[in-house]
Amino acid sequence: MTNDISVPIPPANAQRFKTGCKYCIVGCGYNVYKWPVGQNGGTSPAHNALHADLTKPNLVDWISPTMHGVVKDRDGSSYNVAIVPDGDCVVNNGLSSVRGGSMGLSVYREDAPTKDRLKHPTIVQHGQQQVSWDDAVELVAGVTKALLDQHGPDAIGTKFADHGGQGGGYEFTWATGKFFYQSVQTTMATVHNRPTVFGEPMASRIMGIPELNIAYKDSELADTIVISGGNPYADQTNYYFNHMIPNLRGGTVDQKKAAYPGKKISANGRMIVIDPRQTITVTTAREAAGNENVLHLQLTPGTDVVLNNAIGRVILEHHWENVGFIGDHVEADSFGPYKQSVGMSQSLGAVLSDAEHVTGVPRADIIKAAAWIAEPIGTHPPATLFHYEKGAIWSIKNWDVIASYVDLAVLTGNLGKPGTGCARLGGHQEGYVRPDYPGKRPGVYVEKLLAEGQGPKLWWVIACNPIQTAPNAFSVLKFIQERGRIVSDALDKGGTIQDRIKGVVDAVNAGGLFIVAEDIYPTQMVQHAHVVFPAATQFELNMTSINGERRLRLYQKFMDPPGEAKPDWQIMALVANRIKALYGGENNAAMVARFSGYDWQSDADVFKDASTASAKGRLDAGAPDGLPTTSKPTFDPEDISFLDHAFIQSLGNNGIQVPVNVQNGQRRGTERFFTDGKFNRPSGKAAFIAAKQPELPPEIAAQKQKYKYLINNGRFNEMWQTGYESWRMSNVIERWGSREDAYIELSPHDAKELGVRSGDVVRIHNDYATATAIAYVTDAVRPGQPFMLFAQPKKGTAGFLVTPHVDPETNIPSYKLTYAGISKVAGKPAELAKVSFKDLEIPTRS
Amino acid sequence: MPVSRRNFLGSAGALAALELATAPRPGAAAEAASPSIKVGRAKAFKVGVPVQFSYPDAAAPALAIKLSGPVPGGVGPAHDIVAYSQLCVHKGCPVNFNAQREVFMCPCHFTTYDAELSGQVIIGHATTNLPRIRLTYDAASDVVTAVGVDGLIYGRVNNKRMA
Ligand code: FES
Repeated sequence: MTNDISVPIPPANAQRFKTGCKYCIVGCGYNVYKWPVGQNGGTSPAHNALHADLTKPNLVDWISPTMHGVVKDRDGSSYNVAIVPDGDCVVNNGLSSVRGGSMGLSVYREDAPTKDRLKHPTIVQHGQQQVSWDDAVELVAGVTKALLDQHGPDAIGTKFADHGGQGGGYEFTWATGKFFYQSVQTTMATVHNRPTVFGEPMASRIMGIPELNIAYKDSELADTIVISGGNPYADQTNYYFNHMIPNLRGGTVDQKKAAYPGKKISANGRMIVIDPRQTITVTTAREAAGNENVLHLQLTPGTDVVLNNAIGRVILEHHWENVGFIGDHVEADSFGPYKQSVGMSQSLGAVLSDAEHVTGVPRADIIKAAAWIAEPIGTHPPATLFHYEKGAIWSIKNWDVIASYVDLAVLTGNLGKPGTGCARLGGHQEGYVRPDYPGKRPGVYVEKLLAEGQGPKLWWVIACNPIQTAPNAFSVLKFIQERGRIVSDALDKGGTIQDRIKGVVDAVNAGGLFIVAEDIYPTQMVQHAHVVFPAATQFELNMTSINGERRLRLYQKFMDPPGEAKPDWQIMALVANRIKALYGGENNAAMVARFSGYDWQSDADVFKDASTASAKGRLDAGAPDGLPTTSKPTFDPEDISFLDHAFIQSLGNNGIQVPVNVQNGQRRGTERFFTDGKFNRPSGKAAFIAAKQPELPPEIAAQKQKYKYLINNGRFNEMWQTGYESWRMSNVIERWGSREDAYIELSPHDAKELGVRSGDVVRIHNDYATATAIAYVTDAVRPGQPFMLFAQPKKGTAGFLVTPHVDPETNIPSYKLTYAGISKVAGKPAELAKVSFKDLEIPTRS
Repeated sequence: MPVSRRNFLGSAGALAALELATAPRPGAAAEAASPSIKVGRAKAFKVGVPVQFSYPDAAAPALAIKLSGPVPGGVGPAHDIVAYSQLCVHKGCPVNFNAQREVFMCPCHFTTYDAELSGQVIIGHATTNLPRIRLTYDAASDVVTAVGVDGLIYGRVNNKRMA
């Protein structure tokens, strides 16, 4: 009987640890309790770790069934763990998202869907065979060295995560970055979700505005919050609920008055959402703030530049720009071209009628948006906080869309003051510290080269899955299979490791591709690898990560990795040290030096090494060579100088906001950027970038000509990244069924036309590939503009349908913009009988 | 600290709900893990109008509802009466019933549960279904009785009656 359900009580002497949520950028703080199975605590406050009277309902820090897990350490003993949101963490104040609140289900255990964690290294020989670490490392080190010697650094390629949280952290980015950029020195590197190693909001960086420049409390202090292409209800949940929603509800008036004495403060904060969909952020913001305080600019996808520039044009018309700020803090020669770009030589009427026509946003709403952003309230300009995320970043042209949006913050001087800023919302957490990338901006589109039979001969994929997250992903699957087959055939012959090294080198010289995967689950990518390195992940090592306000915390180790899995830094060190030894055997001092510096003994050592390097100067935090010197950044926004694990751990879940500087012997964090009026360019000033609405790129235009539906895509609340772990969470499986399909939101109009009902299986096809998905009918999307879950496993990946087009300035794909045809394949599958198809995005207004 | 009150947003809501909660019906055995508690007569239910009761004890408010049609696990002559804990399993706020969509909606952080489908989370921050109160129906007397819970009620280590 499920009535017998219970969650064990942590005893008063339970071990305690601090961690953060593994998933989104917000990095909510969590407390971890660990105690031996069978040694539960009692209900009286003295007998449990929560110090709560559990004979009554525990309304404050309840341990839900999904926060509890059972883990087995390598010594064979079993422990309960409870991973509970931390009420004292200023990020989330005890709130949990559906992701973080389910972390008890995410731990490795033999009797749960996480049981297939990678546990042992493997080498292909008619399928992946378990081998020793020594053999796997010998093979990869041997091939790497041989290819370096024969072809040079660019024969070795990587696609690797560059972030914090699960699958990342400063220790991760440093160890992998040091290996590929400093030791191998390859330019054949791309980041987990894009064909470049550089940051996504490159234009913002070049304007002198690193993209994480705010404090979360700024959203409590803003008069107006603007969100372009973001859905924080689902994607930055407790930033939204613990900071933005209180403002929208009118709960932060006193803080606003304190920040701006004498300013007239309206009861509710206002929010502008720029999004083609009526997302759950729009509907819940209306619920919190009232309809009159929420403005939804439901633009035609890809028309962002026209919209942003029209808003700028209205601001200039009314002289709402911040003249003082522009005079003091903006490079003067950039203002003229900006004014030109927003149509100052045309009449306001002409600009607005064009904007209305192109974007589909009523002119009155464009004017209202400009007023909410910039019209003075009494004598004060409003404090406006600008946020943006993938809807803008992955739109028609990354560079111009981001520039035109950040321009609005520069124009109105909404930078560096309480309640202002212009920041990406962020997807995953961050934690970037790598040596400089050895190539030029915007990096190499490695996957395209590989698809053309060129590029690196060894491809080492770490903590990501390009089969689900590359543009034209189907072509990636194809080259992995076809070029990988040549190497598999060689490895199938077996032999000594030396025989196999030779076999692999011959095979790659004959057009093959040697694939190494370093990961935690047997993803589709891992299944195609010739060597698999099983990695440890968050909870299984001490690691550091920053959130969307650069808050650095130490996430403590509280369990052992499964099997023989190791932290990524150890894996990189094993291979580097082996290559070093091989060169040592040849008395090649130069190469020995290149592969030195991997003598770390602990997670803390890796951090120390990274921190020391960070202190030596600006590392490659998205500030590439190849820029004109006038636009080079002068500081690293994710700098970790002056820091070490012990100090960070002592700060608990509130951590410290990087960069840190030392004053009077005290380490101080940086709450928000630009309070000193300094921007990240040699001039110390910010600069406008004049942005132009691009034409639809030819690859996309060709699809548009043939296919009727614009396929937008993105995330869903409980579905994290590629779903690599989400689909191993029993509550996700219960919600969505076991098919691991993406769903596609269709408007009622489109659904009717296609003869499709919620739950039906549909086929989505264009010139690049075919995907299938489950229809979910909702009027959150407009007719002709379905929205598909991005990066899902099996046949559901929207990436299959995305064209290979990238913005030539940044190499960032236009993931959000592809066209396809849709047809019904089958009615609702039986396994979806227990899946709710009630409207996802419009849950409010009771 | 200005943010600290938010910690208790959920709990304050939950406490308010507890005050509304009715006492258990006399005759329910205090020591029973799964007491039987009379909810009401099926005839008295009106479609879409929630009936408040509590289960398994006074600190556990619950809602019984006659839906617009039969559902799996529904009781009564038309198999359309269902009941759920009223405490959102995110932070314990009392949920509201929306008769038009037949969903429960939480006013605190907008989690939505499907009343027709075992309290499944449609979207939100709750990590389990809204706990469902198991009901039985006696045709002779037309009485709907609560007899157990599927899922753990917010704030508890188990679903046993609290003193
Ligand atoms: S208490 Fe948070 S959604 Fe219900």
